[in-house]
Amino acid sequence: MPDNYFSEKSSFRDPSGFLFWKSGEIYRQINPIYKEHYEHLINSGLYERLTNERLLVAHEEGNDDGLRQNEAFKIIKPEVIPFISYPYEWCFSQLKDAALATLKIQKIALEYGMTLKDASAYNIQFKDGNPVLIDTLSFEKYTEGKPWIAYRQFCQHFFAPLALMAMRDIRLGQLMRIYIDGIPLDLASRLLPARSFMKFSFVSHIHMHAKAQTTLGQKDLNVKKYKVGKTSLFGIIDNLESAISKLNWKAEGTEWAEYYDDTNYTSQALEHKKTLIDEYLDLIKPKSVWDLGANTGLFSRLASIRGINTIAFDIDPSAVEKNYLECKRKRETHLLPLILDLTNPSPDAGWANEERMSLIRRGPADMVFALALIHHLAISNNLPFTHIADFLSRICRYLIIEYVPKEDSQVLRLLRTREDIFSNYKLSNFEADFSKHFLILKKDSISDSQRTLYLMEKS
Amino acid sequence: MYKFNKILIACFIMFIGTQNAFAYLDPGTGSYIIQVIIALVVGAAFSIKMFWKRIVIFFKNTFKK
Repeated sequence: MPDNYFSEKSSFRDPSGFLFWKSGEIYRQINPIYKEHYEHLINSGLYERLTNERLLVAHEEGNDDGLRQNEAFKIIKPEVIPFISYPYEWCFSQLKDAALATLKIQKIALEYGMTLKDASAYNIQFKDGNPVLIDTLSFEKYTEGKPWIAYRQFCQHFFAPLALMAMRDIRLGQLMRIYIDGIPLDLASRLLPARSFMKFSFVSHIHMHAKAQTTLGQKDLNVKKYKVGKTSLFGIIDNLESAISKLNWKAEGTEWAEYYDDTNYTSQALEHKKTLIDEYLDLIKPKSVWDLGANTGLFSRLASIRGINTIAFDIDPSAVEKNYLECKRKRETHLLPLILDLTNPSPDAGWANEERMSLIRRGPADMVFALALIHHLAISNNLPFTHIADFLSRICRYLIIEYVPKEDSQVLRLLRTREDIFSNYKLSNFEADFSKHFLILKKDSISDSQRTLYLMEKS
Repeated sequence: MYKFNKILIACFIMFIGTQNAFAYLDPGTGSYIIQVIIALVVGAAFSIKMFWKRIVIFFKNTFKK
């Protein structure tokens, strides 16, 4: 095995091949077992069609000296995805777009005599604003009469969470964080409202499907004798596509959805804050930015419009939904809005806690924005400054952070209903605690406000 | 016809069954069967839909001329 080589921890399920890292670059090994399918993918024109339509990540077949292992058929080098995100971090429309992309890929694959052998939401990533399939080995040659093997997985990874989010509660998307192979259909069936029984697609793909799993799953049936014709297979894909297209969720009414209508900023303060952030960005020129508590991405866009890969994290599914829809409308390619509860960030999960990466493991970012955030962490979540500084120093190299004093009306609002136990919440303590982890490069008062903006570098 | 009857019987068993999902299952079997059943329904509907689309396209092209 070559030096400096390690396999990607999430890549172990499929015997067709696996991902590995070598000298900081990612490669995919294709095993001989997959040779016939890979050649069909390339020679049939399917690969070209899907990459042209930005539905499949492109790859290079090049010199693989020093990479090839004995059993390899081929080594390919896929395009890099700047930031790996997970379905439990996506808003409703991101999951919906990922689902529709998967179905579109399956329809096109069938036209070329292939089929998707898996339909994992984790195989879809957002690249340049579009959902793309990142697993080149997800295709196999289609055999006439064979049903869609990935049908169960598709229902669990996409249809069930979308149905629950649209028809019951948007927060049920977080079940994806617990159930790594998608939401169990019997659970989805129990949680869906009675009106879901009025629609054929919900009755068939979720309620009946769940019943079939629980009642027929244990029976010794020779299922292979039952065939599904190609037209019927297209029918199922078409039915799922139509059902998912009709699922909608309107982003409103959550805690932060109307945030920008409810701030205490004057327009002068807002403009000055933007100018300062622009200056700091010009000075540092970061390659990646994570905006924590980004809301609908007003400040994230100061970075993304410069071509910096920017992630706009927010706890509120409404804010992330609005942000994503704006990204789509404007065809923004460098901004990815994601749902994140900063007080409980995405953990290392899956097999051996290594399959899905925690937020920290996906960093550090070149720069983090923590704008109008400190009071929410320190007061609403009782976090000492030193804990906040320690965490932030683990996820970035440079930090733009806004200090919001206790006299600020937004802080007073947080303290209105609770005892003020925060005697340490002072500018001097903030600077002292952050100086243990960061070097303060810039400090500017935001005009027409009581707030201060800092540019810091990890020490 | 015999196969179709068997599928209908399987469909009926499903609705009267009340076991929960925590027992050991082969998750593929139930999904496979339900897909075959759904395919019977939506396959026919899809054929009609495609046929209808062709008629619409035919008339659209005719009137364009």
